[in-house]
Amino acid sequence: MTSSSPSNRVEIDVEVNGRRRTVAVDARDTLADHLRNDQKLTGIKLGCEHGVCGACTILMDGAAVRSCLTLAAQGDGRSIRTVEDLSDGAALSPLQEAFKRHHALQCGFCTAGFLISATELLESNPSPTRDEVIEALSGNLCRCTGYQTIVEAVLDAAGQIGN
Amino acid sequence: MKLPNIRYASPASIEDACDLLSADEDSKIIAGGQSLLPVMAMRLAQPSVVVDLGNVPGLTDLEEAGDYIRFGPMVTHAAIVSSPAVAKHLPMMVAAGRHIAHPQIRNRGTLGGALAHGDAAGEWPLVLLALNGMVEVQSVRGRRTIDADDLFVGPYMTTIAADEIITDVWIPSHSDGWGYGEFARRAGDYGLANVAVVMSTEGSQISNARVAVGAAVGKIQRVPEAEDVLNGSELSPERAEVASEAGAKSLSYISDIHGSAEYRQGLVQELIRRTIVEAGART
Repeated sequence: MTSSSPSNRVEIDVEVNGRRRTVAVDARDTLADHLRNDQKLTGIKLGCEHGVCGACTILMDGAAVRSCLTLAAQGDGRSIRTVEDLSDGAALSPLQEAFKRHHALQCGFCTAGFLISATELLESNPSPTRDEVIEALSGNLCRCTGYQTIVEAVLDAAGQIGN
Repeated sequence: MKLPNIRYASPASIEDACDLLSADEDSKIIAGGQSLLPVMAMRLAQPSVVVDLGNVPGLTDLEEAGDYIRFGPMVTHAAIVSSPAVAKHLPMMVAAGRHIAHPQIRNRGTLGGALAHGDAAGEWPLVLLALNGMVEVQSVRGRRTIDADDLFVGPYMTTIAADEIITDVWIPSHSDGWGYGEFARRAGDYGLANVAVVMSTEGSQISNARVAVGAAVGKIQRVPEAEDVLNGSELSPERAEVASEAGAKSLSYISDIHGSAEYRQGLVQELIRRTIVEAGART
């Protein structure tokens, strides 16, 4: 909602993982702060908090964005999906299954961000090439895996293994 | 780090946004926030009020307007890179836009924000200068137009006043030859040296050459010494060599942990040479 009077509290109307609610946030809160602290969606991780590592990546109106580089107030009127929404209860999504199969994670801190970036890619481009996968994941850092298994997992989920 | 304490306003019109900027000299516009929020997190900026343009209608237009493409300031990098009109009329922007950070940043970052931020390593400031574009700005004092040649004055410094907002970006459609080159140690990093070249030919002679350099030299700037070698001459690999050497020699370079001044000069010289050759091949 629009307001021409500056305030340090802001009311936002935001849909998160299919549930819409109106909440008050601090003006200084990033979307990551709000989703983790107020909505308890701690699958989102905060690594660098200035847009470098990609661990906080979420989908906003279908586009992968850094939730640490978006103010909570800028989430007003938006539809947000986080890693918590990818599985159906305990049933993992095909992409998550592929990550498990390929050992595409070790410590897991970066995993939510990778899953979200890969989800955006596969939703817009269901049959990506290896180069397209690498480009889509270029903004996510992983310090454990060396990336190869992550790229393999995304290609597998897309049915592109061996292509 | 967490962001500093701020107040937030979300005006419904450019006029309201201008009023907010004029009411408090420490207020700051937020567009996509992909540069502003990191500098706030690192306490390099601490605005009193963040004025969000996200709810002002009409700022994401991208349209052909006569001999120009007109962009609203809130058009995202991703929208530019995937626009058929941009691909047709301003293909340099597609090539340059792909160098901007990573897809997740390009989904949020905006053209107006990048130009106002005026980062010497920024792709859009360099492209605007090479393509001879302009920005239209508004404040409570009125509207004015600033040519790219008069826009960038130093690192993160532009001639846009603190109370002015970019409302439109105009870039002339180009049928000229163009080249864009950027060197970064990893894909998505800020370039160590960025170069954009535009030129046309009359008969076999080069005319209207515009050679622009960013990153390595700390300020988005044209390179008249290279342009002078090109204009009125016939393009050849040797001419590109001479122009790049004269151009690179005329600039002064940053030196830091990422590379010495000498190294950056070498990068700039080679990128100027390559982009001239590319531009020549496209005329």
